Amino acid sequence: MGEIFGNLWDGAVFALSLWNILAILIGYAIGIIAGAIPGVMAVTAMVLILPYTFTLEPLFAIAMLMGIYKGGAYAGSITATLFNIPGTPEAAATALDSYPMFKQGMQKRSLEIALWASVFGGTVSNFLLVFTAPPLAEVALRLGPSEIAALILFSLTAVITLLGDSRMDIWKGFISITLGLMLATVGLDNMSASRRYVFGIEDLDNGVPFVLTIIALLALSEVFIQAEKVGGFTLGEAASAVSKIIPYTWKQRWLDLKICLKDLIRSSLIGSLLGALPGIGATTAAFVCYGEARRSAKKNARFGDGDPRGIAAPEAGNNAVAASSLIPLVTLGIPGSVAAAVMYGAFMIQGMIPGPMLMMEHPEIIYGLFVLLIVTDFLGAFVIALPFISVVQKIFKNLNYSLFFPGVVVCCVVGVYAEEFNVFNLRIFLALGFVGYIMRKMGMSIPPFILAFILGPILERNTRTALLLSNGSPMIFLQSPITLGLLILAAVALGWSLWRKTRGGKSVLEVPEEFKH
Amino acid sequence: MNARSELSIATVLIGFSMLNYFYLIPTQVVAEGSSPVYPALINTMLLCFALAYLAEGVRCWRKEKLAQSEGGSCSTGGGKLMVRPLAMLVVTGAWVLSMEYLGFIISTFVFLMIASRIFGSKSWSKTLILSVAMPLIISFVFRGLNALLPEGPAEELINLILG
Repeated sequence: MGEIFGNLWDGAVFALSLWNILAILIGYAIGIIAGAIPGVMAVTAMVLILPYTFTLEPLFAIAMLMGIYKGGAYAGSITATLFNIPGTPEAAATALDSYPMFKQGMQKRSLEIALWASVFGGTVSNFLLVFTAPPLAEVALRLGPSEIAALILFSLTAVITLLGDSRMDIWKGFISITLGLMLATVGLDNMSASRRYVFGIEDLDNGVPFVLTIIALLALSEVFIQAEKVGGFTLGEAASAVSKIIPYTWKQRWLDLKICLKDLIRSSLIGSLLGALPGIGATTAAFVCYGEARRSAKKNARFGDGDPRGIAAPEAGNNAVAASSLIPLVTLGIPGSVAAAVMYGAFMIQGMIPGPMLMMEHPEIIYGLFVLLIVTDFLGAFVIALPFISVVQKIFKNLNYSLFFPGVVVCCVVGVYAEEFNVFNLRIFLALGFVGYIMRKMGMSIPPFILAFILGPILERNTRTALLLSNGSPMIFLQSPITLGLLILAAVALGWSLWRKTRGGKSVLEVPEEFKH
Repeated sequence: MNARSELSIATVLIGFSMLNYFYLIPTQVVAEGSSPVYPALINTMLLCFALAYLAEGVRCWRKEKLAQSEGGSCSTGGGKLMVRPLAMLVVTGAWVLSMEYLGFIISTFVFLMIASRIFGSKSWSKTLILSVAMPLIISFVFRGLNALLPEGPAEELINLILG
């Protein structure tokens, strides 16, 4: 424990510079704007910024991306409250009570409850990350190639089995993963350096670039999806419905804290635990927390009609996911969510590979990151979010989507081009963007594809190293108790979810259909 | 998506898996001197999942036939491809391909003019301002960073003016 505090102090000395704090504030502001715009998520903004981080200082770049991530996690609740249109899918649970509260003239109360709940959930999750990451990283260092390969297989299986709502979803999820693994094999073989699936094109020797792939699959495919909804957003009408505005007094703030405290603590813990599991995501956490708050409330609660707990619980839950989803990344080097995958990319761009080795060899970087995470919630809330609340309504009433989305495409293309200054990459980018669109139309999930694409080379390297160590015998995967345990867990998880769907059982992590990615 | 579409997709995936086994792995992996074990392993996984998906599609198809009067479906997914996304794809493709010949500024100007119309922009003046300002700003930022965007007549003119 003492060592953790010592490392935290070193991290603070290393990371808390004026520039890094500025990076957090810039990032938080970008995240708030991106997260509040319906159809654009904080991850999209992270992806757009990613290629430009090449030239930045490592911690400045990572601090900015974290600011975007945290800002975006809160910002979805802004348009959910003011227009009943969730800026991010996870804010849909918040809208159930924040919009009714707004309609009663309590706009400030609703937005502030969401903000403080976000800070509370984020802070609990940050401390969970700080205190669980070091022991987990020590365990991770003792894992051999077969254990790492089994761990990756288990993570990928968990992503699918926890989220699939039907057997069809499960199979589509696995196909998505396999296609991601296949795409990762394009380029030079990482053990023999011979070419694979390059069709004589030299530009493909280094494989399909990582940044290009996630921008295409997340941002460009989203623009294609949004092109279907032209004329679908009408932000102005909903906001003009309220005439009276009731001030939010300090007495009311204190009362709200007393009412919500139990739900804040419970939701922060639920969100942190769900976030640490690969693939769960903030949307599921928000709905689970909302459901729990509603279930535990007394009969006279006003859920659905502006109950403060209906805002505090999902907001604390979905913000708690933000930091805890970094636990698999910093301890095992396995990104558990798309945002964590983008952070993984940011580390790689800076020449660092996140995981237990980085934590042991450069603790100041990882602990500096932890300190910045803790600071981000408070600084972002006080310096950026609170002043932003007062001007937000005007900004989003006047947003022109018909100019905004073409502008996003230009930013994507310029970002991809700037990575290697290669026009050929733009063609791959376009093709992958369309593949992403088709996959989404087919009901195939994109996040598992991206996670598999990132983890593919690590899975291949460890699988082949394990087989080399055992002279080609696959029995090596059954000899270590950890490997065997993880493979059994993956098989049991798959079998259990298929059985549950056969029996027609509903997932406990239920999210309404319209809010799924 | 209906069960028939799910069955078609499953069949395409199985077909792709076969193509990979019998053509792509021998010509693009083995012939280049790489080990076929890992790609074949992944391909086997794809084949297994595609077969399971096909079986689920058949079950769905039967269920849909039985429940046709009730209109029930066990398929998932978002349905048909739309015209606007396809138009965006074509326009973006044309922009990317023409960038090498027309340069960044002109091709981006044309792209933004057309793309904003696809997205339903009704104001010519706002569209024009965005289409002119955005490529110029990006171009000057890249120039400031000493990085090159694809050059064409507009960039040559700017080079002449700026010396």
